[in-house]
Amino acid sequence: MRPHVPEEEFHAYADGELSTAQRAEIAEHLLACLICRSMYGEVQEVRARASRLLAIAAPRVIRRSALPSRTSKSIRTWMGGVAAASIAVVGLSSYLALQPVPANTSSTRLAAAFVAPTIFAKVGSPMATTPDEPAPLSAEQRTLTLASRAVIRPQVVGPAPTMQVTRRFRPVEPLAELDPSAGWESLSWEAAMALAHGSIARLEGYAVAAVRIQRSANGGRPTFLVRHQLPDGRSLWVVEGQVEDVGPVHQLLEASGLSMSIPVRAKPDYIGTDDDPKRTIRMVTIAGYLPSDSLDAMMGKLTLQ
Amino acid sequence: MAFDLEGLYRTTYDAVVRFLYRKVWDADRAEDLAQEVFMRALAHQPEKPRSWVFAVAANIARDEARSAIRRRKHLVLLTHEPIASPAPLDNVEDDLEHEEQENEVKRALATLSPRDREVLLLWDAGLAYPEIAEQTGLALGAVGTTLARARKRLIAAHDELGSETEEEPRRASARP
Repeated sequence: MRPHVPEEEFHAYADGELSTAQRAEIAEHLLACLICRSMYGEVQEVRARASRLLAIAAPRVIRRSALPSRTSKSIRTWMGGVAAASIAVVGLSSYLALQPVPANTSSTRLAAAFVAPTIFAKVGSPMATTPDEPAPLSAEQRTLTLASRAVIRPQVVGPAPTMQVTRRFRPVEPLAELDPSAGWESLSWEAAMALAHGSIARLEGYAVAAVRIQRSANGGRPTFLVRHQLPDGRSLWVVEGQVEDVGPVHQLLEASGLSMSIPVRAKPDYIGTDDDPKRTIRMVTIAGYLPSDSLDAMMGKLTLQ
Repeated sequence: MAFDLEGLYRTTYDAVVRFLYRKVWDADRAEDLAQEVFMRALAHQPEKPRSWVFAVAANIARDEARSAIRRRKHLVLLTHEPIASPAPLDNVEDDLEHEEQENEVKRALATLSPRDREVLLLWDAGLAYPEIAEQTGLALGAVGTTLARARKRLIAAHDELGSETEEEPRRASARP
């Protein structure tokens, strides 16, 4: 496996600035490496926050329409009496003078496109006209509207997302599929707590339904798998353990169709003799039949107890 | 290929205004300067219009900063009358809050090194790494590193400023 991906490469990856081969290499590495997934999660957060901050530092309204009159006037004085140039200016200024109108229209059309599919769904025909239908569109505007509708439509269609959730909702414990010979043991909460020296990663505010542990080949704290029960009957699993052990579990859960949160580093643990202690990297991640961003949000509820 | 000012204007005008705004911190001035940039583009008809436009915008902003210092000296000599704000305020509270937030970002941006700030602003204006490299003179491989550092510093500086301003009320509420 390639060494861990440097942070700046993740920025370039997130910015879409790498070659196809480089992208593929990183994507493949991310599948297998929890440490890098965690790092990539951080990079995405940094990237998003920086963009949000910069978005604050912007003029609230950019008056595009200001350009035509001022520009054409100043261009005219600036160009003097060059005949050929003035033809260009007339062409340009008339074009620019027209500009703001389609720009505004297309944004209202875009807003309409957001609402339209749901209305159309009720009416039954996508060609049905709404009462306040404005004047006919030009071919260009129509293409734009249709294109934006096509892009937006899948997100707006009402019942689809819930359907998807119900279809994916399988109230079975995926760990039933875990190989029992891989050394998973079911423990009571108290027994697990004793083994964990009083600190198990779990989600605040949700009932713990089951605890499983897998002893680590390296020694030290075992891997903990804590199943939580949501009020609607669905389950969430919190996996915490040494990175070498959590990796395969993560892959297995993901392969069985669960969404996974972005893994984060947990408190490190020390293995080996007292004379020569070795620091282990421990990761914690949440799995469940929920969108992965909901799981990421759940990370805020993680407690060590 | 014919020079396409309309296309350039449509795709980059907003980004140029934002880019300039973050240098001069005055919306009207930023738009005036942006128009100046596009007029120069029309005269010059550059081969790589997108990066050219931002290079010129950066130069114009630099000149503007110098003349702004000169202007400020003049203003001090003139009068103490406040300059009337031309824009009507729709929602004063919102505007005040926005201004406060913007000031924090402005101060956070000011703590970055000029190179980090430039790379960050160029990226946000929509330039690709090779274009940023060309304009800043950085090696292509260094753009990612610089951008990564700039983003983290912006956030760290912003967090620091935020905690400074929040410290007072927190201390007050700790002791009822």
